[in-house]
Amino acid sequence: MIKKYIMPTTCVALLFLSGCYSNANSVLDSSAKSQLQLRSYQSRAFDTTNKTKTLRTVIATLQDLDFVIDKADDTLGTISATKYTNNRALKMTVTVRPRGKSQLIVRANAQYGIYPVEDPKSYQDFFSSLSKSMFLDAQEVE
Amino acid sequence: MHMKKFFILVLATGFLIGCQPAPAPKAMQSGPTSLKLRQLQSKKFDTLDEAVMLTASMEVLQDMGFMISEAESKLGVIVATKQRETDNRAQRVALIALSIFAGDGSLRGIEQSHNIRVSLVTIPDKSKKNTTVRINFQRQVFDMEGNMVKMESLNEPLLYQGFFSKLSKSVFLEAHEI
Repeated sequence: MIKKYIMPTTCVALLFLSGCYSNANSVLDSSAKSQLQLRSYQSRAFDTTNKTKTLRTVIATLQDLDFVIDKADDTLGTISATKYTNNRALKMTVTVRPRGKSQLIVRANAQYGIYPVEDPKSYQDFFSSLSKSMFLDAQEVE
Repeated sequence: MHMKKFFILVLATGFLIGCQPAPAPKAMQSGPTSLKLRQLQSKKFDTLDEAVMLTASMEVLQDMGFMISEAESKLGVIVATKQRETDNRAQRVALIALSIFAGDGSLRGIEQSHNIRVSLVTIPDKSKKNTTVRINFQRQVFDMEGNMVKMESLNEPLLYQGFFSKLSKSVFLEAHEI
């Protein structure tokens, strides 16, 4: 008796699900992780104040990792780059800004295909390559 | 019977929601290939004048038919792109014929054009009084129906040798203002 209603009910439920959605989720990306968490694994501090040199090192590191640069701006301190891997685009933006009088903060965010990269390991790998090229330690930011 | 269908439906929906691909585990790691790539993609020039190297590089990219899409002289960066027919004309003709005579006449998957992107960077070294130029290429390939079929970086040594031989000539021309 109940079985008879399962299919129609499911179909109606699916119809409702397919009909109502908001774009807020994919635009704001606020569901998965807290802003604080995100910033902490996407950022590192370096003991230098030479922004241009840091940006140049970011560019060199990205090229070492097989990225092709898309955009670079010294004034704003931003580099964007794309790597094609497994027929998907891995896109990355790296920004450099001063922190206090003796440090710079480097922040990276990435997307792979149509998904944000939310795996801290990927960022760790990037910062470890960057810190080798900078000859400076990449310090966690609280 | 209905229950079975229902479960399959739920399972399929679950799969659809669940598959979010992560980048390859080593995508952000530098390794031995990084060094090889760097050697292939870089060349040193005996000048500390970064502006001259950037101008010469820009000229060569224009010689090669590239459009400059981004340039930041303070960081020594030039980005350029071009669209071209792929170098597989004979293969393409064969594949079209095969599709017409032995297939469904579809042109899907037959490579026809590619968008080529290049980033070029100048790296001055004050202590050694030279400037390194590093360049790297990547491309998106489209089939005859306009679908993107491939995205890859281009790491053929011939490509880089060809570019640097052009650049060396261009630097010579620049330096002597011919």
